[in-house]
Amino acid sequence: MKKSNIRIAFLLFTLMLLSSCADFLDKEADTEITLESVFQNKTKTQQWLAGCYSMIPDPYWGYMRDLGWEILGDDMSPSERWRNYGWQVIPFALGEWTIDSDWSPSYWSVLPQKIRECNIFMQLVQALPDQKLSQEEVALMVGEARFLRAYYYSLLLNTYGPIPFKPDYITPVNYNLSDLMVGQTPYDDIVNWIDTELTEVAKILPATYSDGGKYGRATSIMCEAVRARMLLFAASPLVNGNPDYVAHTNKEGKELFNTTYDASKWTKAATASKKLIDDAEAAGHALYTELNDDGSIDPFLSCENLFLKEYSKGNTEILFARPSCDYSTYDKHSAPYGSSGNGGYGVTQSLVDAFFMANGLPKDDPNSGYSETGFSTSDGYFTTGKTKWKECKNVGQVTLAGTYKMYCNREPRFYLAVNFNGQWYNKDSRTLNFYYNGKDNPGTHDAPQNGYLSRKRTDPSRDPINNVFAWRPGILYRLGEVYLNYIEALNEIDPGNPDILLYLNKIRNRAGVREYSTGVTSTTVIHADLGDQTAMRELIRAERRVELCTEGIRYDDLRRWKQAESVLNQNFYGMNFYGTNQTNFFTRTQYQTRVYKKAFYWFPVHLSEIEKNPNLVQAPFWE
Amino acid sequence: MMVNLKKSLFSVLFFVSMLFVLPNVVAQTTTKAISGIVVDTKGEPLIGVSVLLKGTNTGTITNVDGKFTLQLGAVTAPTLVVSYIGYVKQEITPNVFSNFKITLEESSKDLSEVVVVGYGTQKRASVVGAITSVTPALLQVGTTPNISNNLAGQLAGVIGVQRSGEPGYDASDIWIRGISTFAGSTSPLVLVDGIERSLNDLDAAEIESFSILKDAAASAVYGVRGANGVILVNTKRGFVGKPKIEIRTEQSVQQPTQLPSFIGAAEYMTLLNELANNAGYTKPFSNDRIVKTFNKYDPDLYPNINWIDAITKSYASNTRTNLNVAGGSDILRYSLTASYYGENGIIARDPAQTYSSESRMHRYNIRSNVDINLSKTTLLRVNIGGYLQELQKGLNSTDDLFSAAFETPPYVHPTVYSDGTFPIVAQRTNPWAYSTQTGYYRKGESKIESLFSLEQDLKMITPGLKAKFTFSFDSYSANYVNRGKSPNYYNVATGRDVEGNLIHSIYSYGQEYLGLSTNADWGNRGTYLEGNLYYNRTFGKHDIDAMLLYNQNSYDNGGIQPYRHQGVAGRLSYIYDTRYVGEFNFGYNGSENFAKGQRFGLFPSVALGWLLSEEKFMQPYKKIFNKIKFRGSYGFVGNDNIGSNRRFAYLTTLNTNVVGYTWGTGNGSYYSGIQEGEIGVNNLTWEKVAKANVGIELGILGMVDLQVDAFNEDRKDIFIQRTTVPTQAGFLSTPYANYGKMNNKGFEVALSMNKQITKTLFMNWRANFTYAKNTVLEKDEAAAVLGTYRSATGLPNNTLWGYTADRLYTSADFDGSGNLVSGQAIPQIGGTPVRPGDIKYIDKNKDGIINSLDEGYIGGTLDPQIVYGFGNTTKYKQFDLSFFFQGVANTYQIIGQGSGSSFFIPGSGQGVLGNIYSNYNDRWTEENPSQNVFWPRLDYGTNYNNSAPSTWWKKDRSFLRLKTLELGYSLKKSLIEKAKLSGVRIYLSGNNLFYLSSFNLWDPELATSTGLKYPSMKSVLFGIQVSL
Repeated sequence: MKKSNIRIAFLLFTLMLLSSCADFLDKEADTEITLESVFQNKTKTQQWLAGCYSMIPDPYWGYMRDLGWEILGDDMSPSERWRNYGWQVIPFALGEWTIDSDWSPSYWSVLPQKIRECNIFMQLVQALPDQKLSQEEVALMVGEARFLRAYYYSLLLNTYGPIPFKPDYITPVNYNLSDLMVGQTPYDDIVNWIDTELTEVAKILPATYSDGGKYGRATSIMCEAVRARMLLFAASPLVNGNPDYVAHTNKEGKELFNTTYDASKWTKAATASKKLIDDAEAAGHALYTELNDDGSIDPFLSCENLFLKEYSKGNTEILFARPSCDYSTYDKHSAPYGSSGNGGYGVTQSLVDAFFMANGLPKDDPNSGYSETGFSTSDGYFTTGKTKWKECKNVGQVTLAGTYKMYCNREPRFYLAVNFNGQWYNKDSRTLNFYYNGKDNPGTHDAPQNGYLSRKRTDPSRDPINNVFAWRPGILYRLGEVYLNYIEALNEIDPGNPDILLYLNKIRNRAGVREYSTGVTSTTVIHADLGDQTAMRELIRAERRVELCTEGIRYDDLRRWKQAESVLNQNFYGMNFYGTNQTNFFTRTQYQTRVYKKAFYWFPVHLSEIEKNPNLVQAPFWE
Repeated sequence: MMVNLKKSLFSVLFFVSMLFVLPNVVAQTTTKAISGIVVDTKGEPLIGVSVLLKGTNTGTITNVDGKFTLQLGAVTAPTLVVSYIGYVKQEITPNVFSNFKITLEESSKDLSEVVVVGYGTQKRASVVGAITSVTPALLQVGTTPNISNNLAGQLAGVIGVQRSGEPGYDASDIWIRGISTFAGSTSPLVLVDGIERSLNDLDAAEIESFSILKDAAASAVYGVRGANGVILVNTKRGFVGKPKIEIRTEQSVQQPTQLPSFIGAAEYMTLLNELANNAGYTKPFSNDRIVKTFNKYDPDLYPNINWIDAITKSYASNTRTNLNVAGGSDILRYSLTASYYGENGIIARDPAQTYSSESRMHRYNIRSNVDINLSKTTLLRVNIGGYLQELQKGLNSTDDLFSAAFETPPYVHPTVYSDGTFPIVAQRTNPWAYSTQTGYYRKGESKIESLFSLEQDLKMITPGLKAKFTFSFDSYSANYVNRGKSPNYYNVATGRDVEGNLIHSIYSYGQEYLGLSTNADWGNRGTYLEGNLYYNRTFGKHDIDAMLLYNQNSYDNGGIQPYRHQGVAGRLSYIYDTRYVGEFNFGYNGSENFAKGQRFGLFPSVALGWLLSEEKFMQPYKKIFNKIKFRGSYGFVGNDNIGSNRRFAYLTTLNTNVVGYTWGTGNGSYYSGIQEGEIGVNNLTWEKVAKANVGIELGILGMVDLQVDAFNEDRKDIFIQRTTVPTQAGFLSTPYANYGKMNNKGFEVALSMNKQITKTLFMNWRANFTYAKNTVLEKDEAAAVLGTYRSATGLPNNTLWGYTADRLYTSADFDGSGNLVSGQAIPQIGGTPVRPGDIKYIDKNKDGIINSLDEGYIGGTLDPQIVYGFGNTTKYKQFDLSFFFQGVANTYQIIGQGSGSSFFIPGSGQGVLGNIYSNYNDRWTEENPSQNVFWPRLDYGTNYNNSAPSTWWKKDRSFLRLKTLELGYSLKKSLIEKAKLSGVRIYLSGNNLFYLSSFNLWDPELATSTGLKYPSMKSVLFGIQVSL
């Protein structure tokens, strides 16, 4: 090759080099999606809104394991050693709870993210007429975002009490760190804001949607339901004049809880619940019932299918449901081991004891007929009403001969909520065997730790081997609860109001237990002293316990009533896990010591947050 | 900034191109002069040699052909003073006056030896940066396919640990001078023939030179990519001469260095009975069962399986063959290297299966480097290299296999029943079936690496000037296939029927044929373009070495956009009288990963050196101190691989397809969500490090070489997620910022000694030692944390975390009813009430309760702070013997933590899960309430108090390993000459034959806190090397 050729080649290369180096790095990430572009597209706008909805809790696996509302109360007895599998709340229930305990739902940090997303949505959402997103639709969507924001604040409030509160603030990306060091706002201020906000939003949103595709989106009824439950909590002893919180102030010296009792809070709560009842019933909501051929209520089918049937198929008792949730894992953990379940999610002895007898009396009533000794000699049937329910060998049968008497002659809701040793397991046509090393008790953590498994809200036909679980909605609010909320508040401000018995009996009537009456006890009614506020309070609470059990509500009730520190701070009992026969199994046996400190009423502000923000104060009694 | 760069680039390039079109410069000639040529001992002309007429000011320097002409004027008997850096100065009285030939001798090996430096080479004497080179032969030892496994202890400044022995996954983690960032990448930049490539893709036989650049002087030219140090590898090239052929083949057998050892079934059941009894439970195992197991009454029903043994073979093997052919002429030189590496792992297979689930790896490397002189001044280089690698293994990861083997107790069932069926316990695994009966995985990889470079000597413009243009492309592709199956599993047999058949029912039906799932090929491509100018010339006592280059690269791995870099770099080195060296380096480069206008950075460095031994006043001592050199450097380098796995972190991202919500009746319609993702970072930039280095090089008696370097590195702008932003701000992910700061300092010593003791006995000793200690200076910790036992600021990166164990509780700590006597802090870790023999922790916050708030940093890091090595080679007549030890120190780990460790402590799996380490009797018992035990009180079931991470389980991971021991024999020349061979050597070599460590449950180098990991291997290797 000649020298000149080589030089020319070199020259060419250098020219190549020159041409390629220009703008070599000038590659912006050009086609990435931007915030603005989301709101120029209808589908993406809806997807953003769907993201805003996503933290609506899952009342099955969520309440059970992650949020833990069910297992923090005294309804459930999950296997203690499931803590090894990430059940962070189990140690909390045992008193192992510190300000640096991890809690995966982490409301304190996660809900502000959702609130920010809601705020960004409200700020940027726009009508897109060419894509058939009208101004009216946008106004509704803004209402939904406002509902969600208020709902998430109510969850924060319920979990932590006073929280840093700047509802309309969107932290800019070029934030100034000191602007973010926000301290807590008093509890009542936040209650008032949510109260007002939800009242406003309820005026914007419809009570129901005619378009089935929109089921699950925020309605005025949902606004009212959230508001009413929050106001009931706000009127309750924990936060209404609780002397324990005197001098619990934020860094500015403001008292974070109002420590003077204010009866008007009960009025507010009662009014809100009553308005909700009226508005809901006007919008077509009603207690869910299934009727016998003669028109009488079938309590078994009514109370069981209440949780299995969806709104559009006639279950109008649902006020607020999460259309999609993880019920299958819930079912698996409560299905017996011998039928391929994890078989370790049970109920407590105290819940078993709370159910009424078939005659509607509590077990401790001298006339209840309750017995804890011996075993039945014949099959038991539901006799105080009619039913087509067949989960035992025969229609209407509730117990087999040889059943421990503790479980005989109980009310329908008992048989719908509790799987006990010796009960018929219809799915597999066999009896449950909880004896140590029996079919359903392998002696491990996947076994009924105190001799019971939970049954309510599960699918009786579930098939864990083949992963078949009936679809069902995740009910967060239902009319039955509102009745009980209403009369509880009413009894506090207006004892003797006839509404109290009216709504209490609606619940009992549906459940197939004798109603209360101001008259004398008879075969159809039990006498109640309506004028005795204390006695009525007990009756209402007792009804609440069984009607709303294992729905994740009980824990909040114990907190509100300031009973958690006693009820949840004691030995828990059940049947003997190691029992291998009738004699040594069916005996009240302590299986757990629960610990509840005064601090636990509110989740602590996590250590890492307290440390970085000098304006925060720790929740009461945590330090 | 961009404009400036373009401008400067343009001028450089314009200059380069103009050079080629200029006419040749014609040399002048005159009369009354002396003319001649200066050459080196090899006869090569030397350019720029100073030729001075003694006693006058008249002088000249040699031209590009080594020629000079000097006007003599009136002088008739001239004496010429000829001097050139690196060569012995001469005074000559010439006897002829034309074509007078002067031969200069190199002043010492050290001054002429060439060292590979960033974008070029330098004479060793002029090197003032911290650069360490290693003879490639030292990397070509042992049975590993990965060069990275042979670096630790061999090169001062390299910290390395090999965390696994699994074929295909056994490369070491290496860091140059330790770890100096806690967020960004810590890996050095590896350049093979100047191109960024993986070190482990090379076969050691391909390597000609291997250097690491450690300080800013050496690595500043790499600018934004040089912060973690640079490894430069050049591959073998041809030479002028007859073809030289070298064949080397090795065969080895391997065994694990150490597997954890577990007790057998009878002992296991006996212990569990004891523990259950202590805890007040019924004994889970009957005496009859234990006795029958012990007596091997019926191995199907009373099995005793060591699952680790079951899933592994006793021996593994590997083989390696290298072929190297090199040679050439003045016009063309070539080097061809071909290698094969094959390895069979330790995982067992089932001979009854048609396929193999063993771990096996094969790799073929080939590389051909050709240099062609297109003209006297033009050199074309073409490198083509590549490899093909195939890895086959069982379908399940070996980590899972070892976990399964640990999880399954020895008594539950045999590997396979005598009737050929596979037993399994519900919801568990049969480790042997899991390993051998579930199919296999195969991964194929190939890579082609190319390089084309044209080097033009521009001496016609000015002597000493050269230009070079380089282009390279690399392409990598890979694919894999999963061939899965599952056997029929049977429940554990309950007994035998009257005919003696096992009574067991089917548990699950498997899939007897192999399934198939493949993925599409994936891969990556890279291109690289470089143009540079070199200038190197000596003017009398002044020696100038300069370099200026432009380069750009693009790397596309199929992500949203290729990764790109672009920049210029330069070096100016000046040496005065071979004594004083000054050097200035800079890199000015950028990366597309940053915002426009913030993409380019300047990274300068300066270095100074003083060769004391070259001073006149030192000449009397030259015999003793043949070299004394001081050097120091300071400069800045960057790291654009900032971590956090984000591209374009200056942009706020959106997360699409995140968790959304379902609307609608029935099953409804699911809408996936969209949300804000990462917040864009203002003024995003790379990590910046200021590096200082001082070093001394000593040569003593021409036989001992000592190098000592001390360094300090301050890194800032480490890209970390802010930890002081309250979550109340509502950001989905806490914003990042260039916020972190870290210091890294240390020293390193390299010592070597060579001595020809007698004519037939030669000895070489070498040792080196590296110490690097890093300190996190800024991690954005809240003011409330700083200064407490929970603060990481001021501690080494990744300092261990846990409780501080005080001692074991004694019976004196408890009252009669088993409660702690008052005054004792109450432990609340996991709810289990403590008893004597449990670990007592220190109540750090003094709140009377021991819970997670008492956890804090307890000192020590897993990454070693000290790495060292030492060895010897002795040659006696035809024999050679060498050994090399390598060790690490200041490395700690908390054992028994992490996945699969919940039954680490004997008994914690209640006999249902877990094996028991054979040292279980080294424990606290009521009979032996010793504090000086390995295990605290053993419990039946999990004891959360005892299993918590703490200083109790913090173990020293230091070790000293005999890395190689080799004995070789070279056949006598007279013997092999008949066969026309130039050399034959046979050798026997042992690798990792033993190690010393205070920890003895498993090989302390493995990345495991339970020992359940594919083990490191020791091996014995036989090799033969033939040269033609």
